[in-house]
Amino acid sequence: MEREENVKTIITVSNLYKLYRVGDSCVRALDGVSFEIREGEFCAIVGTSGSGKSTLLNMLAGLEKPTKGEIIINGCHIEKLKEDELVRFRRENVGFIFQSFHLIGTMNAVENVALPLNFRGEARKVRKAKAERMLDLVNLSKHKKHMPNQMSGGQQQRVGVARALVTDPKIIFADEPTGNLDSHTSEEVMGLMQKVVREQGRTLVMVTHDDHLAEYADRVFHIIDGKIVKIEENLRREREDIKDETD
Amino acid sequence: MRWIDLLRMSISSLRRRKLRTFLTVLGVVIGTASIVVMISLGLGLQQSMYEEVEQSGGTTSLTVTGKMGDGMYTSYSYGMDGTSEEPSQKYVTDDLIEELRGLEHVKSANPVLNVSALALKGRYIGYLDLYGMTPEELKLRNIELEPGGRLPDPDSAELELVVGNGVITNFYEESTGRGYWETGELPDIDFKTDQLFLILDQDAYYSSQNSPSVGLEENTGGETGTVTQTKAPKKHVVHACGVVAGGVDSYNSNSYSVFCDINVLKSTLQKEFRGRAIPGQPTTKSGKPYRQFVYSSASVQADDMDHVEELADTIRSMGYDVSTNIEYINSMKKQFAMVQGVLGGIGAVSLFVAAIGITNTMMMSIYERTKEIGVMKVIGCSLKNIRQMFLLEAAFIGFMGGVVGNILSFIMSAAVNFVVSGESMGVSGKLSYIPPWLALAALGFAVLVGMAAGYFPALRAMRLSPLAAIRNE
Repeated sequence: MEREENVKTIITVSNLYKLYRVGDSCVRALDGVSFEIREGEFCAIVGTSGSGKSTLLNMLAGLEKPTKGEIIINGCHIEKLKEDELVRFRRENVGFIFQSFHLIGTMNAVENVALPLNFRGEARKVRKAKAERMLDLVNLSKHKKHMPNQMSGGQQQRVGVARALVTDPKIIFADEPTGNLDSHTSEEVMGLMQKVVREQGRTLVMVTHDDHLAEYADRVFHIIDGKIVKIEENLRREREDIKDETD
Repeated sequence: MRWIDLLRMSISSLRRRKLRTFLTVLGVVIGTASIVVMISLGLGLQQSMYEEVEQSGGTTSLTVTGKMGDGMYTSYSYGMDGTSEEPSQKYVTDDLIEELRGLEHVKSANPVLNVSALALKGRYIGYLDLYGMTPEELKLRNIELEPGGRLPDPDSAELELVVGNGVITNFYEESTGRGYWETGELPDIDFKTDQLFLILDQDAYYSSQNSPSVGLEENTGGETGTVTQTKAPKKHVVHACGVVAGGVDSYNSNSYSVFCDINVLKSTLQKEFRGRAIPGQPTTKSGKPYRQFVYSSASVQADDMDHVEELADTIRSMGYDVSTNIEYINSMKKQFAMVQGVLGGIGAVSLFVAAIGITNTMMMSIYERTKEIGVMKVIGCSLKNIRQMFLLEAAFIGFMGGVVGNILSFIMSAAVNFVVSGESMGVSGKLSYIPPWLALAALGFAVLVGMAAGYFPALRAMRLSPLAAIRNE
C-alpha cells in the first residue's frame, strides 16, 4: 500500500470489541475490529441490521464505550474520555447526521442549523450568518424560516447536513442518512453529501445497509457479525485532482 | 454556551407549553402570596406596636416607679393606692429625680404625677385620668394637638389641661348615669371653649353628694380613713388649652388621658389637702403624709437606645421598678417572631406544594424532550449547559410566580387594610404591612424553591443517555 505524504490517518481503530450480555449468553456486537480512516476520505460501513455497524459508529462518536480496544481520533483516545470530555470532543471535532433528522421541532431551519454554534458560545449574529451560508450551500435558501414540519424529508435532511457542517468539523458521522427518504431524494442527499465532503475535504463516515448508496463512498467496509469481512475501494470517477489510493 | 442563549432557550421551551407553565406558575403565585400575606399580618401588628411605642416616648425612655408592697397597684393603674406602709418602700421623690439625673447615660429625668379627678360640666360628670408632667416631658410625648391647641403653661396659676380625644366618652349624665357608651350620643361638651369644674377630692365630693357612685369604688378604696369629711370639696375652674387630635373613635396612646403641668397640679393638690394626706400619696403608720411629695413615676430618657437596658439595671439595683419600651419591644419581638413563624409556616406549606408541582412539570418536560436532549448532547451541548437550562427553566417558573405572587400580595394587603380600616378599634395603623425586604425575600425564596424543585429533574436530564435518543424513534 502506497500513500501520499499529505494524507494522514485521522481515525485509527484497533482490536475493538463490544460485548453485550443477553441473559446468560454473551453477544459479540463487535469482534476485534481494526481499521484506519484517512483524512478527507468518504467511508461507508455496510452491513445488515444487527451486524454491529451502528454500534461501531456509536463508538466512533463516543456515544458508547467499547469493552476492549482503542479508538484514536485525531490523536485522541476516545475510549478513555469522560462523558463531558466526549461532549466537548464532539462539539469541536464531529458533525452528526441522523437517520430521522432529529431537528428541534420548535426551531426554524436557521435556528436548527445554528444550534451547535449556540453550544459553542458564539454570538447570535455570527451564528445566524454561518447558518444561512450553510443553508445556501445545501440549496435551502428559500426555506430558512420554515419549521421542520413544514419541510419535506429531503429538505429536513439537508437541514441536518447543514447542521453537521456548520461547526466546520473534521469528521462527519452519518447514521443511515437516507434511511427515511425515498430513493429519488436519497440520491439527491447522497449527491449533496458527496459533493460537500469532496469540496471541503472533510472526512465522512457513513453507516448504511444499502450497497447501492455505498457506491458513493471512496471506501466501503463490509461488516458481518461484528467483523469487517471486506474493504472495497471505489475508484473516484468524478474528480481526478483527488489522489488515487490503492490498497 | 452564553447565558443569554441559555435564558432564551429556557424561556422558549416554557413558552411552547403555555398552559402547563401557567398552571405551575399559578401554584407558585399562590404559595408566594400566602407566605407574604401571612407574614405581612404579623409585621402589621409589629408595626402598629412600634408606632404605639414611638408615641409613648420612643425606645429610649424608661419609666421608674417606686417599689410597693405586695399586691399594690403600680403607677399606671388608675388611682394610685398609697396605704401600704412598709418602711422598705421606695418612693419617687424629688431626691430620686435628682439622683437619676446624676446617673450615667441619662439625658433627662422628669417626675410624672398621675391622679384621678372628677370633672363637672353642666349636667355631665366625667372621670379624668390626670397626668401632671413637666413641660419638657410633655414635649417628649409628641402629643398631636388639634389646631389652635397648645401645651399647658407652667407659669399659669390655674390648671390648664390637654384633653385626650377620647376623654369625652368618659362623661355621663349625672342624673341618669348614662354616657356615650349607653346612648351613643356624645355629651354636649366642647373642651376647646367650655370651662370645667375639676374636683380633686373625690371622696369629699361623693360623701357630700351622699350618693355612692357606681363603678368608681376602686378609686376611693384607699381613702376609707378620711371618709368622715363632709365639707363640699373645692371646685377648681379649669379650661383646656389643647385637645389631642383625632376623632372620638381614633385611638392613640394619649386618647384617654388628660395632661397638665406637674408643678401647678402639685401646688393645687397641696393647697387643697393642706394638713391632710393627698389621695394617692403614701402615709405613715399614723396616717400623716409622707415627708416628701411622692410622684407616681419618673420618666427617664437615656442618651442612646443601647444604654437603656444597662441604665434600667442600674436603677433596679437602686431598688426601683423600671419598665422600658425596649423590654416591652423585646418581649413583643419574641412573640411576633413566633406568630410570624407560624403564619409563614402555614404559607410555606402551599409553596412546598407548588414546589412539588414544579418538579412534576419539569419531569414531564424531560420525558417529553428526551429525544431533544439526546440530540443536543450528540451535537455538542455540554452536560453543564443542559443542567443549567433545566435549572433556569425551573428558576424562571419560581421567578414569575414570585413576581406575580408579590403583586397579588400587595393587592390582598391593600384589600385587607381597606376592609379593616373601617372598623379598627384599638389597632392603629395597618393590619397588613409588606416591607420591601419581605417582597424581595419572597421573590428570592420563590426562585430558590423553583431551583431546588428543578434540581433533580435537571440532574436527570443531564444523565440521560444520548444514545437512547438517537436509537429509538
